[in-house]
Amino acid sequence: MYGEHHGWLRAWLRRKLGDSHLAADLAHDTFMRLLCRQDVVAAHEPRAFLLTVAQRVLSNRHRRQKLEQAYLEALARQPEAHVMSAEDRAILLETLAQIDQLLDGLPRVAKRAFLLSQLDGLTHADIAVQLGVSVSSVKRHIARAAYQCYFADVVASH
Amino acid sequence: MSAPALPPIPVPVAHQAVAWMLDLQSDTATDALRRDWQHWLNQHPDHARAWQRIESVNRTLQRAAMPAQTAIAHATLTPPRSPRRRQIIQATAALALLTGAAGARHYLPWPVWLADYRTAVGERRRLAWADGTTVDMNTDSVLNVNIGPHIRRLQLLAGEILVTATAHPTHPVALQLDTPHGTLHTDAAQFAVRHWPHHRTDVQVVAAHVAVTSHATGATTTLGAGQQLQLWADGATAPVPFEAIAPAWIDGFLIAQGMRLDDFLAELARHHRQTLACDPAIANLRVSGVYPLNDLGRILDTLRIALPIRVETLTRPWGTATVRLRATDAPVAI
Repeated sequence: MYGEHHGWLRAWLRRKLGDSHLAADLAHDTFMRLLCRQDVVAAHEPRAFLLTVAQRVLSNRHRRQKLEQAYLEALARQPEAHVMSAEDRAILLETLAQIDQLLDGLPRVAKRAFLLSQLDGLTHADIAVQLGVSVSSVKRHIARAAYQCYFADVVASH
Repeated sequence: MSAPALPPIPVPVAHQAVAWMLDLQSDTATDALRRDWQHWLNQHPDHARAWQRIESVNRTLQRAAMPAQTAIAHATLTPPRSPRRRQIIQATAALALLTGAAGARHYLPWPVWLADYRTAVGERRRLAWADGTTVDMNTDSVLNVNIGPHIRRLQLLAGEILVTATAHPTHPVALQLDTPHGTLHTDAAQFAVRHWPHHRTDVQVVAAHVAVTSHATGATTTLGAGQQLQLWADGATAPVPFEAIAPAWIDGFLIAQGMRLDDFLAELARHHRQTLACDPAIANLRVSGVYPLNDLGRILDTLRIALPIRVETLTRPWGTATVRLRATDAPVAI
């Protein structure tokens, strides 16, 4: 499948992105996802299937760029950022990218409640005050975020 | 027949685990509640698996939990909504900030928690396939595997493994191992690989030969028995010799020879859920000896005797503990 469709996918990505170097990278990422899967993919429409996977790669990349932009703005606003080494900043970004992926799709208030609880260690009562909601709402929001965050594969298989 | 992957955690168990987490977080949590939680944990192996999953992901979250960093985390993950309050950063400055010295970045294509095999913190596991391939997984490691009659392909997403690959006498199938920093190829060899996240990947060959290709440069180095190298974001180091034996963790030991105390604790911490830390004043004390990886109590006892330190343990409400090593004459925390 690789030889036959790789060139076609690269061309499709190049048209979509307008960048042939990037298209090559993303085509590689797309095939990497497929080649390491244990279940043999017997696709009747291999190109349509490839496109599905490629779309996912593209949307991940888009999300990643948005995250990086938000990160840079956050760093610009924080005096603490200046004492972090370049390596620490890079490591923190990767951590935040993982967390961002885990929390993807949740309503903003659920993300806020979850992070205030897990990162800042605030009590449910303090979070309720900060977000202007009831304590029971806070627990509901944390429960929803935690279930998705910790058990994404369980969510996906149902 | 390959070692089977675990089935997903059942939905009700996942919900129960989250409910327990919330109850334990609440400031009305009592000892009775904690006992009930322990009882639930012991009721079924899936309960413990679910709780381990929560702790494992929490470890990722904790990396953004330093006081100076939580504000950055919030602003990044839930950015302020008004565009006027946001500053647009120059593209070139942005690139320099993010990539630092090395230009190369390598993204893992898919989430780590959906991988085929993962070991918990402190767990070591041997996987074996009918063709004779075996993989020993060290603590907190994540591996994807595709082994069949005509393919032997592994992907190390996190942690450390020892691969023992034999060559079929009549139908050899090349083995390929992908890592974030490079790709390894061999027909038959015994070799150890360790991935340091966002940092480097170490390759040590114990027996036979492995061809190592750096993602960054595309260059390939062939390592023989007793040779090791490191793959970095910008390329591979030259091979250097090492004693060609399987790593000590296979037998459950950590061998230190004049290792700095902070490095020793960092190695040990990979195998334990507790946070292990030491004061900067004693970080460069030297540790030597053979230590049983899983017996934290015994290791701390040995360190207490050998070094001028004392050990403080702080337990958090949701059960995780921090072990802090301090100089014997450091002031006691109130």
